[in-house]
Amino acid sequence: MTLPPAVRKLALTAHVVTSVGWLGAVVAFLALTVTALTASPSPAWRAAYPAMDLLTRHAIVPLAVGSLLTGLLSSLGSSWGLLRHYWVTTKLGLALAATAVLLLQIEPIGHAADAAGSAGPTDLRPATSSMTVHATGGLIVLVTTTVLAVYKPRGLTRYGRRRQREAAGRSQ
Amino acid sequence: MTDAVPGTPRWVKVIVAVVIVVVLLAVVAVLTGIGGEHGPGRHTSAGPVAAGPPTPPSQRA
Repeated sequence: MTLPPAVRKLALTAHVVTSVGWLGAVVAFLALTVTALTASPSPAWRAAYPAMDLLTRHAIVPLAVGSLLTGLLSSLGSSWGLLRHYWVTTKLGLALAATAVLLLQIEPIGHAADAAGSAGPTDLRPATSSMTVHATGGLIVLVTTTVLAVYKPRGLTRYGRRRQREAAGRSQ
Repeated sequence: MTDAVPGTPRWVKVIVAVVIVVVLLAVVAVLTGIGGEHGPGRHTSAGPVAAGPPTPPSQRA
């Protein structure tokens, strides 16, 4: 199934926007975790946790889901396919893994925001360290997927080679 | 478009190896407790925070 060129361009544009937006939102999240780690309990420290929660639920998650969906549309609607080229398949696997970890982080981030907003004493340092590690990992994955998308390194999967042989056989 | 290269490219093997190492490290961290307690309980272990249930996402700003 190949999409018309105009639709393909639109899907690709949406994919680039959501993917780069996802990466940028994770960088913003990391800035907040560093603020939360380095600042002692203060208005800025208290504000960082609800900001992380909002950023996660209203920006990072929608952008991640949007990136996945537009990526699926772009690959399936073009000659690249989803499972023909290693760079596309690898990108899909990394994005799926990053999204799964992200979805598992929503609840802990929400709990940290609630704890920071409460009046009582609470030690959020372990939780914040965990968020920083997860966000750093996510950032590395997203930079990797961006590099793969730009460089498109060579390599056909077994399925891709078979499809190529079939296409060559038909053209002869 | 990329050329046909027989076999799995080296860069794919490197990424797969890195992913396996990261997953193993995560499993070891969870099993040994190095990564700390996982789950919501880790955020509610100190002070009166543990008394109340978390605010549902729909009620947050």
